[in-house]
Amino acid sequence: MITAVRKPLEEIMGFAAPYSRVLLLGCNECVTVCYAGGRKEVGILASALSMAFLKEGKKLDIVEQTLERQCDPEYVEEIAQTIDQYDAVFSMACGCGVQTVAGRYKDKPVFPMVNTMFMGASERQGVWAERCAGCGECVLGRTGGICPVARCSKRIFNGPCGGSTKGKCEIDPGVDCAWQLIWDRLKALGRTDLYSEIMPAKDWRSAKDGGPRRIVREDLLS
Amino acid sequence: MAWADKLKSNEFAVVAEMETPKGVDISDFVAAARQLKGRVDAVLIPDMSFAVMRLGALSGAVVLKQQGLEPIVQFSCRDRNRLALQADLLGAQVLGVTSVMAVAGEPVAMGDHLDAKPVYDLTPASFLEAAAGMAKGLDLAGQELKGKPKFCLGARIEPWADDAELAQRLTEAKAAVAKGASFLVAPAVFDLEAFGEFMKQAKGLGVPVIAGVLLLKSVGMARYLNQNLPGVAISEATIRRIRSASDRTAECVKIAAETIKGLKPLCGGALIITAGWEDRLPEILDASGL
Repeated sequence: MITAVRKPLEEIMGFAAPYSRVLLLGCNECVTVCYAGGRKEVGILASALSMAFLKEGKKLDIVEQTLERQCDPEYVEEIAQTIDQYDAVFSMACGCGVQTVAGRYKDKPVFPMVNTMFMGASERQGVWAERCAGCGECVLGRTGGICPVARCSKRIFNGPCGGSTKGKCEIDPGVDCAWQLIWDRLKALGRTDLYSEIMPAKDWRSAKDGGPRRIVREDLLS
Repeated sequence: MAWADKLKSNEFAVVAEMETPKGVDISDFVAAARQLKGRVDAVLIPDMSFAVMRLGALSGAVVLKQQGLEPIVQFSCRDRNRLALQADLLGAQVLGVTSVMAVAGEPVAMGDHLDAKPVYDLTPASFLEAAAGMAKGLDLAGQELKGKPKFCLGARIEPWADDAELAQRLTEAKAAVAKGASFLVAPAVFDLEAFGEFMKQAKGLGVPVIAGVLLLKSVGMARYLNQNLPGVAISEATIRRIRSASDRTAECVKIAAETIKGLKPLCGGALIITAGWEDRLPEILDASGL
């Protein structure tokens, strides 16, 4: 999922200062799963904002709504009839959702309520960790299902650097060395031969480095 | 005369651009440099322009310095992060290369290493800030330097396609001067009248503007530039002139020389860009009366 964390209330208060009526818009997808911007978090933020405004002797009219997906024009269309009632949209979706809403309602200010973090997985209740960097050319088949691009601090290939000690990364003893994990798993799978194969210098074109990316599926175009 | 002193002299400055070789055979590079000695005020060395891997600009600058030329080194933000850029700024200083400027750098997709990972950690504006800060004795992390470098900083004015973009470019140039740029390099000029209009606005920037003079090599190149470079409008009359010339290369040299002569009353200097035809530089200088 795409993970996110809510922005500090002070920053959101700054966004809200010029407005009297805003739409606080949650998203039912990734940000719901990581407890950052779903229906529940919309309610919590609405209360916190209202109270903070009252404390300052001001009033902010907040209307709560949560869409199925903010990164999908089909669902974003649902607010077309009511958007004119608001001074601004406060989106609790990831950056993809914020931009889809802003792109559809061009004359309406749209503000992000969360900081979008990474593509990750849940490690345990309350903990999410980065697992995929979206580099566009997956190497997991050669690395025992552990991604060196997302999980090595240096995003290096062909084994660990000299900063790997007892399975931990030099940047933080709490961070596993991705290449140690890869080695351990390849050993368990009996595929250490893959470790010996030198991977050529990565082609970064398929990653973000080739510029903004898009997927066009001819078979699905209408 | 050092480049910084030349800028202060208010005389028309003549700069030649010289690409470093792709490889370690520097004989042609040195030969072209020798022909320029005493004829240009400085030589600008691009940093892997169009993302084509070649001998590093700083190395080229040192070679040119050994030949008695005054180098201006470009630093591409595409290929180095802030650590490397600052380290190389210090390196330039201890090697006696003090005139520097940053460029964003053309995208990797335009070059010969399409699969490379670009950096773009700093922008040319933040590079200027870094260099200006280093001159005060501090790096970008606020750490003190042992010995303060002294730079003559430049900045590029990127091309513009319309008046709105021009206003943006002038704002950027003003900010660059405020950050410490003591010269500005403007895009290649093909229309002296339009450039004169630009200079009316750019004069207020307070530092010399060095205008690009790009040697056209063919009718095809002129057409390509018209189609692909923002703000370039090479007139049909110029294109016709090249096409009908008995010696087209000589005609192109003549056109470049006329542009240089035309720039003299308008701006602080000319940057002659021959894009691989460095051996033609003396001809251009002769024809320009320089």
